[in-house]
Amino acid sequence: MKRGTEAGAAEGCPRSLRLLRWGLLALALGLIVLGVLNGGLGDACVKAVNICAECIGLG
Amino acid sequence: MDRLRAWWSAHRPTTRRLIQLYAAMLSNAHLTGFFRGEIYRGKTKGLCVPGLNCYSCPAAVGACPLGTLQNALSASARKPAFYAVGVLLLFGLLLGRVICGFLCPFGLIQELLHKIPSPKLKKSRATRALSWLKYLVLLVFVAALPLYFAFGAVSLSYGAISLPAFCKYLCPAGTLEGAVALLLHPANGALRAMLGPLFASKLTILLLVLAACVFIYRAFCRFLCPLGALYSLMSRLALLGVRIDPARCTDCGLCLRVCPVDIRRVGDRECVACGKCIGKCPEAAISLRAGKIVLQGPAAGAVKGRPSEAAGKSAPACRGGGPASGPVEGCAATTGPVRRRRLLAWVLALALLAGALAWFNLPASEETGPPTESASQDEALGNAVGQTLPDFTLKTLDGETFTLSAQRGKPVVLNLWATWCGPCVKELPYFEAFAAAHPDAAVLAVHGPMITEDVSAWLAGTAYRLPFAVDEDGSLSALLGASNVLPHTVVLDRSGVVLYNAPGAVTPEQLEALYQSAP
Repeated sequence: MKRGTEAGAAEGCPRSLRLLRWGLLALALGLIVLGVLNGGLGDACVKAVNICAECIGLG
Repeated sequence: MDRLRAWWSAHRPTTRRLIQLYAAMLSNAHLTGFFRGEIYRGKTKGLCVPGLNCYSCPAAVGACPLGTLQNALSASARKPAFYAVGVLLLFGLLLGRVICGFLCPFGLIQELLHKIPSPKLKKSRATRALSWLKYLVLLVFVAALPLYFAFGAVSLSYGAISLPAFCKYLCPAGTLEGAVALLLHPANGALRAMLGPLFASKLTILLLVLAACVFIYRAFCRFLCPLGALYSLMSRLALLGVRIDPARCTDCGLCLRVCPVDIRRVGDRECVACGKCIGKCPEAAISLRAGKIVLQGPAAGAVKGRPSEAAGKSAPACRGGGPASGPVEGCAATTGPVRRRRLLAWVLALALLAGALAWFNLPASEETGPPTESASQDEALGNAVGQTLPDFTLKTLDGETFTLSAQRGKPVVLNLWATWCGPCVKELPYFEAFAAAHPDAAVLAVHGPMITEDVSAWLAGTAYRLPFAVDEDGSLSALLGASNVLPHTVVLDRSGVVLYNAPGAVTPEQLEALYQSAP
């Protein structure tokens, strides 16, 4: 079995993998939109603008 | 001059190194944070950067995707983690582990450490086996522990808490980028006062990781990084990645031998797209691609299907160029239009960086936190120990009114907390028990101004009988001189004089000692 040329070949990406990739990308974008709408982005901002004492080993 | 040229030729940074430096600077454009000992508090902090970059780093202008994920999973009992999951999925599907090789600041640090002259540990079966450890870290510290404490820990006295377990117990990036930078600043004495066993443990882990990186190429990346583990799960699907042209490959295995990490095949889950194999392949069969677009390596379509002819061309083109060294003579990448496009790309990128540095370091672009000094003109009034705290009134969540001056004659304990703050939630039972044991003391738990959910609804799921209030406009936080570290506790004596005012968790013993010391 060729060591270097298993799946992962340069231009032979199967159609099924390409479809899966684009499908998951669409899902990712959808999740991000949902996350913005449900306040997830705001929550991320709240956590990030406060010093995370635990993250830096305090407390 | 010749010696200088020879030195430069041997040591000039590769294109990949330049991109790494660029990404590190763009992710950490708030350089004035280092001089002020403060973190950036602008709105861009809600946007995740792709690499491991702690949001407690004073220079960080975005959020760490791993920290964001853990916090979101911790709150997932009340709100699904759509945003964090969506962002990580997007990064992984677009870039895969090219993020590790090109965009992660901590990856850059590891590679620079590895340049320190020392014996180097080569990859082996043992390192290959160790590479599975990062998946265990991902499963346990990033997923299982935050989810357990979000859903399953209801039997604990404090109920569900936010526990970013990887950040708290392991992450060396947080210790290095956040702790070291903040704790070394002279203005952060309050943070230094919070040092304890947790910091000692994290510092030890950091030092071990940094030491390991000197001897082992990307030791943290390969063996421990859960973000790399997450992206590796998507490397097969990722749009960007190192790929082999099967028409050219002769299966000589040289790519596997020169690769510094534990790949089984080029471009697999362990590949961090360092590009070392690209320049070494004698058949020019390997390239870094975005779909069909070749970003590094031989041009697509060149000598396809004729590997022997390619081999006989004495490697013009792209062999020997080194990892991501940029175009080499003879490659399609060195032709005029391509060079002009590259130059334009670099000019635009540098313009973006310059704009970011200006934007994130100008005073007007940053939201300022609450002032740390009392606005009172009377020197006896203030929030420092020994001063009398100015009067204030807050409406509690059960409809009552809490006025500080009405509490004269009682010791007063004020605790600033938040639902999203694990240590805050964990210590609430201490204040509950304290209030029950000392009915002559006035205790008020105040949720800070940064609110992520309905505080009343959160409390409805608990059995606390403490008075709670919400500092919606941040005025109490400003009055107390509270910084953006929670929890924060203030204790006043019976005359309203400040006995204790500091960020960080308090123990029941500390509370009792302060109560006993209140005259």
